[in-house]
This record gives sequence, C-alpha cells and structure tokens, in this order.
Amino acid sequence: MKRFYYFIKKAFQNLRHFFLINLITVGIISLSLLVLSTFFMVFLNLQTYLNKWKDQIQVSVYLADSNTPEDISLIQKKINSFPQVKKVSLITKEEALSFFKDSFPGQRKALESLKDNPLPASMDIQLQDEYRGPEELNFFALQIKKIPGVEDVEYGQTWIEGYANFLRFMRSAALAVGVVILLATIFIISNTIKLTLFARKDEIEIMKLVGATNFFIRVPFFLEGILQGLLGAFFALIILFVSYQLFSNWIAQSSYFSLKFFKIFFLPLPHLLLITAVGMITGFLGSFFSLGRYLKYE
Amino acid sequence: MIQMFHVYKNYSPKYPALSDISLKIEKGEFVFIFGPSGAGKSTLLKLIFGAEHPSKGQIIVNGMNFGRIKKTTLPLLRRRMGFVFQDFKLLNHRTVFDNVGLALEVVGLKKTEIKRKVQQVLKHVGLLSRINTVPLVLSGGEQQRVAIARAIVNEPALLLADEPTGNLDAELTKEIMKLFKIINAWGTTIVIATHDKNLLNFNPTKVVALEKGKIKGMFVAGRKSSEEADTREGSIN
Repeated sequence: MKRFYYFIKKAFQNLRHFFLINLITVGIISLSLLVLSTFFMVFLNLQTYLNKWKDQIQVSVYLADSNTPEDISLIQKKINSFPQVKKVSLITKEEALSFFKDSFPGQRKALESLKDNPLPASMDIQLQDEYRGPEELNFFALQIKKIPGVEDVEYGQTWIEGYANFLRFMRSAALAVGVVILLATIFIISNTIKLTLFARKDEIEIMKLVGATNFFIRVPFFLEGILQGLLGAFFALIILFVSYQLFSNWIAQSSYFSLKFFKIFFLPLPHLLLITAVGMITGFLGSFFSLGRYLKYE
Repeated sequence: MIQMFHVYKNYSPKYPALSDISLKIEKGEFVFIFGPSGAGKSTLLKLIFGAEHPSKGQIIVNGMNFGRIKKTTLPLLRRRMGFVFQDFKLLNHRTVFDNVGLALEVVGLKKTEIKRKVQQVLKHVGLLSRINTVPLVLSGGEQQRVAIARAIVNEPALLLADEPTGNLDAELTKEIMKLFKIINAWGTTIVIATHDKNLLNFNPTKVVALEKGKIKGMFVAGRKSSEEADTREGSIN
C-alpha cells in the first residue's frame, strides 16, 4: 500500500515535471478522443431518428363495406389474437369521412354531393418491435389478408424495404468507420506516449543504473499513461459537451423551420464511460508497449 | 571483489571488443583501466556491472557469477555498486537532492532516512549548500560531484567510473581524484577507466593497460604483476 502511494505520487510528480510534453500528449489524446466521441454522438443520434421512423411503421387493414358491426368486432378480435400485434385501433367509415373532411376542406363539397360514404372502415395495427422487419411484415400481411371480411392490407412495402436496406448500410458503414477511428485513436495515443518516453529514456537508463527493478520503473509510467488517458478523455468530453450545448442552442434559435424540430441528445453515461475507458486503456497500453523497448537494455 | 577468466566480448566476429581478459581486483583496491579510445575500457566496465554479457569466459563480481545470474537479480547487485560517467548522467530537471536520493528511493528507504543520508553525503562532497538547485546551473566539477554523491550514497563495496574527468580541466580533475581517494580510504574498491596518462600519478594500486581489446600490460603498485595473466614486459605510459 505504501509502495502504491509512492507510485501514485511519482506519477503525479512526473506529470508536473514534464508539464509541457504531458500537456501536448494530453492534448493529442483529447483531440483523438474528441473525433471518436463526436462520431459516436452523431451515429447514436442518427440511429435514434431512424428507430423513431420504425416506431411509426403500422399496418392498415381495409374492411369490406358488407361487414356488420359484429363482423368487424370479430375481425378485430382475430387480429388481436396474433402475437405480432401490439395495438389495434378501429376507424369506422364515419370517422374516416370526418378525418378526410378535416384534412381536405376543399373537397368537402364534392364529398357532400355523394349519396354514400365512399371511404371504407379500417384498422390501424401497431406491431411489436421484433415484427417490424420487411419479411415479418410481409408474412403478417398475408395472414391478415386471409381473414374473411378483409379487403386489403397495406404497410408501405417498398418504403419499408428501402428503409431496412438503408439501416443495414448505415450500421455496417458506422461499424467500419468506428473501427477505423478507434484504431487511429489507439495508434496516435500509443505513438504520442512513445515519444514522451523517448524524451525520458535517460531517466530510465539512470534508474536501471542505480538498481531499480523493472517493476519499480514501470508502474509510475503505467499510471502516468492511464492518467494521461483519463485527462485526455475528460477534456475531450468537456469540449464535446460545450460544442453540443452551443449547437443545440443554435438549432433551437434557427430560423429554418425543419431544424427546430430536430432535437439532438448528448452521449449517454455508458458511452461516456466507454470513451474514458478507451482513453485510459490506450494510455496504459501505449506506455506498456513503448516501455518494453527501453527496458530491454541493461 | 572482481575476477575475470578468459573473457571475450564480440560485437562483430571480425572486430572483437575484448579478447582473453583475465584479471583480479581485490577488495579495497584503487584500479585504473588505462588505454586509448576504442581499447575496450568501457566494454570492460559494462561487463562488470552487467550491462553487457561476455561472449565467452567467466566474470565473478562480489562472489556472484555474472554469466549465471537471473535478470531479476541484476538490480539487486547494482545496489551494491556505484557508477560515475564522463557525461554525469544526471536528471537535469530534478534537484541535487532528488538526483542523489534516487539511489535510495529504489532501495525503498524511508523519506526521513533518505533526507539524512543525502545531506550527509552532500556534506562529504562539499555540495550541501546546493541541495535544492538543479544540475544545469552547476559547474562541470560540481555536477560530477553530484554524480559521485549518488554513486556512494548507498555505501557500495565497488565504485566504477568511466572517464570521470573527461569533461573537466586539470584543477577540477585533481579535486575529483582526491574525492575518489577519500572514498577508497573508506574501504570502497574503485575501478576507473581512463585514457588520461596524468591520472596515473594518483597512486593507483593497480593499472590494467588495454589496447585493441587485449591486456597489454599490468602494473601493480611498486611492481609489475606476475600472477595475473598477460604480463608482457614494458612499462605503461
């Protein structure tokens, strides 16, 4: 425990003694992690928006005019018994007409000239999350179509397929870009630390000369690497948060109508911890691999 | 203290750094390894403190066979030796106190004990008033005295010095050599590698003359060495 306290003290002392070089290292780590966390944030926000669209996916079932109210409630019961179904809402012929009149007031006269209500009764079905894929939707629609009294089923087939393809592409692209950025971050951080150590190879040599064990030399350097990573992550996230605040305010005050409804959210806690962990682990690994080379010499 | 038996060191097969070195240094001796640049003096010292391993032959230091020790034992052996180099090898951003105290820190001594010992040794080398300054503001002679203080603060049985006066003028050289003499009088064995003929005037107990990696001759205070290896006729100078 006493030793550990000594090592921590030593690591902080080194951070202070090599202030400029450590400042540069922490700065570079911050920048790399800022790129990584910005990417994370953009991706997560985009994904949430895409998922919101998914929430709006619903199946519309149009009923034949010949159905009696009893038939309709039987159909509703049948539909409700499917495991895919989350919620069914019935829109009667009358409700459909009044909705149409409200939506298209210009057409009111034309509708009133008709003797009968031309709009069919329908049901809007919301599905459980796991049944919203294109294949699942198609399968569900086919089954519903078989129910007597159902005239037509619609769920925006082409749109959903396109959407599903886009989502798939987005995920693979994000994964690829994310991995590249992560690797670049690790590469930059470990090389920066390597440079810091290069500047201090004399110190390592002297410590070996006076009889320091490799363990004794290593631990403060590892702690220093971890601290650099931690500080780098801290500054990166602060910069990200401030930029996020400024950007959100700019959007809220924007004169573009469509932007006003666009709400972005900050990275959730698990992601913040993940980025901090990436910083600390890379800081540690950076010093681990770079130190090995200097410790080889006796 | 130090025994070498038919030691060879080759960095490349064509140009051996050391060939067939056999010598014996007793406890309390004051020895010069003397020879021109490239003679193999530094390599010889490196073999003694385990920074290099012999290509062939045996080296015994402080009763330990350096060819057979574990890597983890080396730091422990180094704590019983002190080193002084031509370029001082000081940490320039740390104070004199930190530089000297480093040798005690690695041993795991308490803070109060480190303070006491560092002050004591700095008093011996005449630098107590400079305890809180950084090496860069010190003169060359003062920097070398800090290095010597660091080398002896652990009270080592053996002190190795590689061209310790190489960067110093005649007056400072005299001063440093006097200091080595005092340390030797306390019982520490001292081995100094040098190319400077003038140092031989400081009454060594033994001079080992090296040339092109071989022992050219050996001089033992008052007489030529007879029991040790390659003792060809001819004076060393």
